[in-house]
Parts: sequence; C-alpha cells; structure tokens
Amino acid sequence: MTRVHTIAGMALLALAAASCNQYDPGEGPDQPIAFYHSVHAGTNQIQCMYCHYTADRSVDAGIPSVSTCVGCHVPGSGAPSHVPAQAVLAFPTAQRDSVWHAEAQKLVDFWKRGEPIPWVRIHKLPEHAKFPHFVHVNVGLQCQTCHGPVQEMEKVNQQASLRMGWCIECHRGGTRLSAQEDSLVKQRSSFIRRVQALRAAGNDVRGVTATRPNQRASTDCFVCHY
Amino acid sequence: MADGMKRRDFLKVVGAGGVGVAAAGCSTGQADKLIPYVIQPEEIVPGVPTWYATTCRECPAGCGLMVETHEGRATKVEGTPDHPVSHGHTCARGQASVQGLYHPDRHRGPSVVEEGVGVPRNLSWSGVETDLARRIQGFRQAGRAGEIVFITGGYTGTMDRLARDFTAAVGARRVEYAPLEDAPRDLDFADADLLISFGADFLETWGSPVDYAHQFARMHAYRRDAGGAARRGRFVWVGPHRPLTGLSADLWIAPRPGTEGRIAALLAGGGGDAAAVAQATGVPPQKLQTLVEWYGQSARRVALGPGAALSGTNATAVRQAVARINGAGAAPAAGGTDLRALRQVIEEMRAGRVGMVFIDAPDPAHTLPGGMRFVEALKRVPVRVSFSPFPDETSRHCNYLLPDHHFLEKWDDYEPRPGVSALVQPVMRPVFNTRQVGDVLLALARQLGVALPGAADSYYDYLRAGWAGRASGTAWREAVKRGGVWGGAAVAAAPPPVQGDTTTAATTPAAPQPPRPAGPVAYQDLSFAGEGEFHLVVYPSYRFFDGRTANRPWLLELPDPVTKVPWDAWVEIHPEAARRLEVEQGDELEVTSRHGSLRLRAYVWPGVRPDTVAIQMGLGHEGFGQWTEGRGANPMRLLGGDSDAATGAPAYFGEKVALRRTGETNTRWTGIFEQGVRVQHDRRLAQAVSLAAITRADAAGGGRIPGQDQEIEQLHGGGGFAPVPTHTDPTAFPAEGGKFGEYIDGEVRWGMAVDLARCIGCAACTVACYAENNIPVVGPSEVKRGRDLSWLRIERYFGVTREEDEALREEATDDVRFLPMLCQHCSNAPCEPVCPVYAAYHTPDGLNAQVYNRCVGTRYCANNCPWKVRVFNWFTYKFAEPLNWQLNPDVTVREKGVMEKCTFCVQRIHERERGAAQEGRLLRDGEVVPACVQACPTEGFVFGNFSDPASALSRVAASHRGYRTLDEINAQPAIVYLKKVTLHEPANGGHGERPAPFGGDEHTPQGGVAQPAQQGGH
Repeated sequence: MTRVHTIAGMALLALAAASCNQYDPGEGPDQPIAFYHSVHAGTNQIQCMYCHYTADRSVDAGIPSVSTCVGCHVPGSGAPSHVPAQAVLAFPTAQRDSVWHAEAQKLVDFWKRGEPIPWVRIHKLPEHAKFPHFVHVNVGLQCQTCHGPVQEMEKVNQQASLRMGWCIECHRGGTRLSAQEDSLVKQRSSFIRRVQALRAAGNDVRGVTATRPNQRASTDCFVCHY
Repeated sequence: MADGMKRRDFLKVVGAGGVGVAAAGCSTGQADKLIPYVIQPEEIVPGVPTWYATTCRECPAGCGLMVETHEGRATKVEGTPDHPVSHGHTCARGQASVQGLYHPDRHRGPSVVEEGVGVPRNLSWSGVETDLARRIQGFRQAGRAGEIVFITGGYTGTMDRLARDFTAAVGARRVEYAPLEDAPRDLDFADADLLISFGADFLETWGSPVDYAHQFARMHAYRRDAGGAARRGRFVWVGPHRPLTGLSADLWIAPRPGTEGRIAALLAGGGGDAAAVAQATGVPPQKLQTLVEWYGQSARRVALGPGAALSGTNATAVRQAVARINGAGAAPAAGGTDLRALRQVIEEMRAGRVGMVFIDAPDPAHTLPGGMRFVEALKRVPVRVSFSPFPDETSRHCNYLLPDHHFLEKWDDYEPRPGVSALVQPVMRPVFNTRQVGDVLLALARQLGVALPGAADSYYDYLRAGWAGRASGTAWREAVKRGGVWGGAAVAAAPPPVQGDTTTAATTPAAPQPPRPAGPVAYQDLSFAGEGEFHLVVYPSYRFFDGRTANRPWLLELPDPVTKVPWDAWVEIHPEAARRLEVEQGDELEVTSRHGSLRLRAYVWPGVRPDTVAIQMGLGHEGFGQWTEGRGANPMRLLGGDSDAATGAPAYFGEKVALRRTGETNTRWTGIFEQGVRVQHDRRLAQAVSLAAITRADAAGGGRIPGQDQEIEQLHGGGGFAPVPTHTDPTAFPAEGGKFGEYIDGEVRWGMAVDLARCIGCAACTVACYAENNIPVVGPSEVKRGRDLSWLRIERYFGVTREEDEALREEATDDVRFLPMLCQHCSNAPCEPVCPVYAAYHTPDGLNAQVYNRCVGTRYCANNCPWKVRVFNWFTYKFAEPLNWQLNPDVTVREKGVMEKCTFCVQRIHERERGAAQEGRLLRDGEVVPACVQACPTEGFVFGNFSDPASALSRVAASHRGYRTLDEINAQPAIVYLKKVTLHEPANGGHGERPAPFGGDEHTPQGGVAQPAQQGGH
C-alpha cells in the first residue's frame, strides 16, 4: 500500500512537472469591471491601439488610463472631481436597470474617486525575459497572433503559453502567420541577405536600411535575457 | 492519533504539496494587478524614459544634468551635452545624487522637538510655519528682530535675493557659510602647455571639477598637433601631499609646509634666486630647476590655487603670488565664507544674544573647525531651525526640522559662473513631505505680513517673475528644456572624443602672455601652530566633498581613488615616518592637536611628505544616518577656526599634530582594507610610453611602439607557449573554421578603447555603472571579504615591478597608472567554455554574455577569468526602501547565487538597435554610449564597432599606443588600451626595451592591435 502511495505521489509530481510544458488557456479571470473586448474590439471595431496606446512605441503595450474610458463613456467630464452628479453614460443609451449600466457605473465611481481600475493581469512573461511590444507590432505582426481572437472574447484569457519555446518557434519560422504578416516579416528581416549580396557585389553597405533578422532571437540569449 | 502522522499521510501530503508547488512553480499567471493611470500624463510613455534638464547642486560647480525618469521616478543622471560646465559628463558625486534623493534616512516631513521631550513631533507644514511666524513676530514686537540669524550656504541668484529681502524685511541678520566654495569656477586652461597647481584639487572638488577635468584632458592628454608632432602639456603639483589631482602631475614639488608661496613667488619673478628658494623650501634643487626650465619653455602657463588643503592664514598672499604667475595684477576677490562674521555670530550665540537661528548651510556642526565650538553655542539658542533634508549633526541639535527638497525635486536657479544662469527643475514629485526653503520663506513673509519685492504665492512664481527679464514665454520653456541660459557663441564646440592619435584640428596658438607686474611679491611663510612634530593637511574628499555626500552608499562603497580604501577614513603617513613610529599600514594612530584628538588607521604611502600627515574630510559624522554612524573621524575637530587675515576664509592649513601609536594593529575586520595591489607584479597591465619614444618612433617611420608584445614573441620563440594562431585584427577573429564568436558578416563587433593618457582615476564611470546596472552595495564587511559587486573598477598602480616595497619609494607616486578594468569581452573568452550550463556565452555581435536565469552559480567562470572582472552574488542584497525606486527597469535585479559582470550596457545597445530598426537604418557610429563612457569627464573611453573600419573606435584602437592586457594568453579582448604617455622614460617592469624594428617585421605585432599600415594613425 505504501508503495502504491509512493508511486502515486511520484506520478503526480511527474505529471505536475510535465504539465508545465503544456498550456491550458482556461477561462479568463473576472475583472473589476466586466469589460467586454468582444463589444469594443469586435462589435464596435475599435482599434486595439486606441486603448493599448503605446504598443507601437514602447516595450509596454500600455493599459488605458481611466480617462480614456471616460472620454467615451462619460462625455463632458474633464477631471475626476468634476463629474456631474447625474453623469450621462454614453454607448449605448443608458438603460438604468441593465447589467451594462451597473458595470459602467463602476467606471464612473472609479473616476469620481480618482482611482485607477485594478485590472487583473492575464499576460505575464516568465521572469528575466524582456519583450519589446513595439518591435513586434511594427514588424507587421497582428495583436491576435499572440493574444488570440480578443475581439471575440467576453473575458480575455491567455491563448499562447508565452514560454521560451513558443517564442523561439516563431523566430525560427515555425509559426503560421497570415499571408500579410508573412510578407511583411519576410520583407523586413531579409536585411542580412541583402547586405551580403550588396557587399559581394562590391557596394558600400553603410546606410543600407533594414532591421535585424528575426532569427537572431532564436539563438542569441542576450536578445531577451539581460 | 498516538503515533502522530503515519508514513502514508506524510506521502499524501508530500504528493499533494508537490503538485501544488509544481503548479505554482510553472504558473506564469500570478494574480498580478495592472494599475493604469487615472489620467495619462502627456509627456510619459510607459516603458520609455523621459528626460529632464536640470542643474546639479551636490557641489558649487553647478553641472548641467539630464535626468532619466521612468514613469515619474528619477533613475539616472547624465551630463547635459554641450553644457558649458559639464560638457555632457559628471563626476562620481553627481552620479550618486539620485541616492540622496531616495535616501532612506531623509526626514519624512516637518517636525518639532519640544523642550524636555526629545522626540520629534510631526507637524503639518502650515502648522510649523504658523508656529515659526508667531515666534518671529514675538521677537519683532519686542524689538529684538536683530537676534534672529539666518545662516545661508552657497546661495546665488533668486535664493540669494529672497534671503536678502527676507532678512531685511524681518530685520534679521544673514551670515554666509559656504565651505570650499571660494575657488574660481570660470578658469580657462584648456590651451595651456604648463599647469601649476598649488594644492588646488581641481579634478576633485576645487572650483568646477568636471569642467576642469575636461579642460585638463585637452591640455594634458597626448595628442598630435596640426603638424603631426606628438604633444602633451605639463602639469606640476605643488603641495605637501598628493591627492587624486596630484597623482596626474608630471612633477611633484613638495615644499616645506608653509613655504609653498615662495615657489609661486619665484616663478612670478620676485622671490629671489632658485638656489635660495630651494634652500628655504627644502625642495631638491634639480626638481626646482626642472620647474623653472619648464616655466621658461612654456608659451601659455596657468597657475591654480591655493586649494583648500593649502589655505592657511596667509592664503591671500599665496593667491596673489599665483595670480602674478597668471599675469593678473591683483588677486581675484575670494567669494565664499568670511569665517570672522560667523565667529562673531557664534560668540553671540554662546553669550545668549541670539534668539533664533535658521540654518540652511552644509552641516556647520560637522564642517566647522572644532575649535569654534559651534554645537555648544547652538544649544544656547532657544529656537533652532534646520532646513537640512537629512538628519545630520546640525539638525540633531535643532528643535525645528523643516526638511528642504532634494535638488531633483525643486525649482531654483544657480549661477555656476558669470555668463551662465542655470535652472534647477524638479524631475519628479517629492519623495517625502518636504518643502523647499524658498516656499517656507515666502509663507513666513505672508504670515508676518511683511512685504517682499516681487513676492509670489509660490517660489516657482517668484522665480518665474525674477526671470521675466531674461526668459519669458517660449524663451522660458527653452531655458527649462536646456537647463538654463548661457551665451550661444561663448560655448565652444566640444572636441571629438579621445583624440587618440588621429590628427586633431590645429591647436589654438598660445595667447600672448599679458605683461607681468614688476617688483617682488610680498610674501610671508605660514607659521604652524601646535606642539606635535607633524604638519597636518586636511583636504576635501573627492567622494564626500566636505562631508555632505558622505551618506550615499555608492560613494562609501567606492574605494577612494588614491588609497583604494572603501567605507573608512585614514591618516596618510610617509613610510619613513611610519618606520620611525613603528607603525604599519592599518595600525591605529592617535592624532592630537591643540583643539582635539582623534583616532584613525594609518595609511602608509609615499604621497605625503615625511614631516606631514594628511586626513581627508568627509567622515566621522555623528547623526548623519545609518551608513556613516561610527565610521572614520572628522579632521575638522583638530582645527581651531583660524581664518585668512585678508578675506576671512577658513584656514585648513597651519596646525601641527602629534602622533601616538595606540597599539591597535590592523586586522582584517577592524582595520582599513585597501583594495587591490600597489604594484603590477610584472604583468604590465597598465602600460606607458614616453613622449620621446613616440617621437623616436615617428622619426623611424611610424609603426608600433615597442612594448610587452616583444616578450611574448620571445616566449613563442623559446617554446614558452604552445604555438597558437594569433590574429592581429580583432575583426579577423575567429580563424577560418573556428567556433568562437560566430559573428554575422556585416554585423557589429562591439568593442572599446580606453586611453590611459586621459584617465585621471576619478571613478565617475564606476558610480555610473552602479546607477545604470542596479549593482547592489554589499557593505563594509562584505567588501573586506572581496565580495563587492562593482563591474568596473579603477586599478591604481604605484609601481610596475613585482617588488611590493617599490610602491613605498619616493618616486613611486611619480608615475601612477590608473587602469579602468571591466569585462574584456574576449573573443576567445576563458570564462565561456567552462560554464556547465552555457550561462556564459558569446553573442554574434561580440558581447561576452551572462544569462542570469541560466546561471547556477558554480563560479567556475570567475575562477577562469584572468582579469577577475566577474563577481558573484553571495546574498540577495537589499535596496533599502526607497533606494529601490532608483533601480533601472531595463536591467534585471540579480539574486543570490548568480554571477554577473559588465554587459557593455547591453540594454542601451538593444534600445538603440531597436530605435534604428524602427527608423529602418543601421546604427550610427557613436550612437550607443554605455554608462561609463557617458560619464567620463575626460572622454577617455571610445565605444563602438570594430567591424566598421571607419568607426571612431577602429581609428582610435589602431593607434600605435594600443595594446591589450594579458595578450599573451590569447583571449582576444575587445578592449584596447592606449598606453599612458609620460614625460620621462617609464619603468616598464625592469625589462629594458630593445630597439625594435618598426614595421616590416612579420613577427610583430603578436597579439597586438591591428592596423593595416595605411591606418597607422597618421
């Protein structure tokens, strides 16, 4: 009996260890406000970068400030202390007894109190790895390639493992990209081949414009770990 | 259950627990929160630093700073490019200013210590201001407003006006106390060919150290003039002791203490004949002869001084003699402190005739001579207001604590020198509940109902109104953006970094010397007072100034640039005197003067006269926070408070002391700890070449200067080494088919050149590295275990041979070599193959990388590193809150069990590479600037790309002075050092240089630095 338990215990441990290699997206966590990406990015077709406003210029994608939400939802509200007593909630026309109204009212309350909304983090890279959003956005990748079909999600969950193997697979060209992405990425990562061809032909390669080869990140640890 | 837990239950628990641990261990999605802004500040992009221009106020120099802030927190300071004072660089104190901002010892807010209670009671600002206003009003109504004294330190510009108007309106008195602030900050000696300093430590604290270091490099570092001839200015140090500045000198004249002015008088033409002066000053005649010869040969000479260490009661006389050398008729009026006025006030305080004192000056209780008994007098004053942001010795005895902002939190202006109006702007919101002095004064004036000219609601408005004439509207915004206003044309373009051996633009022809006033100089020797046999030199500290920056952990952990002693104070004593007293390095000495006595450990070295001892200011604090408590001793306690007869400036020179051995000897844990060694043990890490040898080499047709590579050659010939393929060109490595450094063709190969002819050993680079790379401070006992984590150290060698006692000989300080030592990023790195987990590996762009999350801490790499530049985290070191606010978010904070080392600031490389990629272009040469390179005030570093033959690095590294350290082991470092250039023939370790064939010898230069002949630096 003891042996059975020992084996069971070890098997459990092995299973637990093995489970680290897979990723179970599961259901996303509850957020302080039931914000539906499906409504905003899906139905209303708002661009991702309207809210995640630094994705193309910073390592961080950017979480919208409360004022960004309020800009659409509480028109005419300039500063937290100046919210009219009966704030007019916009988009859609307020129905006072709807779930929507109750959730939007939470936003108004955060705004009135001048408090940030404590969103629950969903995507978190493993420690000691650096990931610049803007490089990936600007090379032509779609947000959905890593984050999944966010425009269809009511609750956002994590679609990719964000583990090193997943990163490297893409950097080795093993991830299927859309035709448009594929063409953009290839165009922008052919630098080395182009430079070599130019040099072979005896040209001066200084001043030639291009980006790094994306392959480098698949072999060079120091690109992400420093 | 009688038998407790059964094995079965135990296994269940272990099994379940294991799963739990494993599950948690592989989870990436911890329940973190993402906290956005409520209102997004326009100028902040999260993840991208925002830079603000401001002005450094750590010392009177007033360097222009650019402060890097991440999401509203200052993380790093750098010099403002093209600033007339900082030239884009900083010193170590400037780099450490962020540690003052986040210092955990700072006062949290205003407080009052009530009589008989002793514990400060926290108040609101309005409360404390009302209380003070009421008390001031009481004095005024009683007609005793004259009993209110305001001690101000170093005010210029708007604060000076406000303090003047405030004291006038209230009827109070104002006394200036600004120690070490009387040195001129507007000297120009960049084109001098002879510089003579009379104890003026202009590379450390005197005047404007960053500006002067920059100018010094231009006049003193090796360069080629328009005609291609090798040139280099000369520098003479006059003084009884050699601080860091003196170690850069080509000639050390150490007159008998008190007779320094005779040297100046001799040169100025009125001091009698050289033989008599040699006799009177005790200077060896041949040294004096050399000085006189150099003086005669010089086309443009500049004399500086006297520095604080040489300022006695006759300082004005010395200054006049110095001014005569410079061709000026009269001595410039010394600004700064008139100690006589302060002494008068102290007497009144002691007599109970002062009712209220406001103190906004650099810790007078610590920095005033002990003989003035300031604290005793202060205690007699009923209302004692301190504006110090830190608890210090003065505020400890005050009952109103009104902490000022740190300069990175406030608006102010400052005039470093005529023609430069610098602005201080806040780079972030105040860390604590502090308030700037200007605002307090304005609030007090409002409450008292006294009218101040131009009074405003806030100090910012007051400042703006005062600047209306100089800059308003867009001009004001431009001024804030630049960090001030200064003449457009007056700011000369900065010279190219490290002139190396590339031909530079024509040096300005020497300005004609103005006519020298005729007639002898009236000069009196300084007479020393006291019983002892040793003259006492009290000199300002490069790291701590007068003590005001002594609580910064980085500066404490940084070893003193001269003695290489971290975390401690010492008394410098000549080996001969030490022998006489039977004292060895680290033994405790009791130093006694007429005014006090203190105990310090002996530092035995030949950089001080045998009849003199030198003690650095800065340590020996009582009540200056957790890191300085009980550390060192304060030499000001030995001084009496004499002042210069003419100007009233404090006299730091003129006391004699007696030494007594206490019997406490040096042990590893109780004494002082000198880092590193004093001699090079024949390794010739820091090499030098004489100017004459360069000229000879040039005459022989150019080519490399003989050095250690010849010995390597001999070893090769004699079978000392197994024959390995060596490559003279860093870009030619690895060899065909080699496995090392799989560089991508056409990609960069990062590397660095360090010009030892420019290095002054100031270690600004080291502190910049701490700031940029989140290097923890390990503390005094860990440092003594050799566990300091500095990635970049300045090695200091007094001698080049293997004989330890050579470093104690007289001439040992004449050729001091400073060697910035950091990871060499070897192409064939010994650390890489020994790592069992591939944490140390080579990147395609030539960096020797250390991957922290792979490292398991075997430390094999550090053992195998011949340069010992890898350091190990023995603990997870703490950054005491809020010092952790300073951490650079772009760099990993390392934990226990991880090796670390210089990365060439890879985060900056990546940032620039990405930026260039975004713009669709290649990196420009000079675009990537590591923190050390950025900080260096003498521009002694060049960082760049070896693969680009046109890069500044490739050009500089191709110098015939270039060499690589420990080249014989064929590790192929990416750092090329350029030999120091001496005026004499340097001792290169006892191996005579044989005449070398220049060029045309296919065996040279083994392991040398590459240059195809056409790039030979001409």
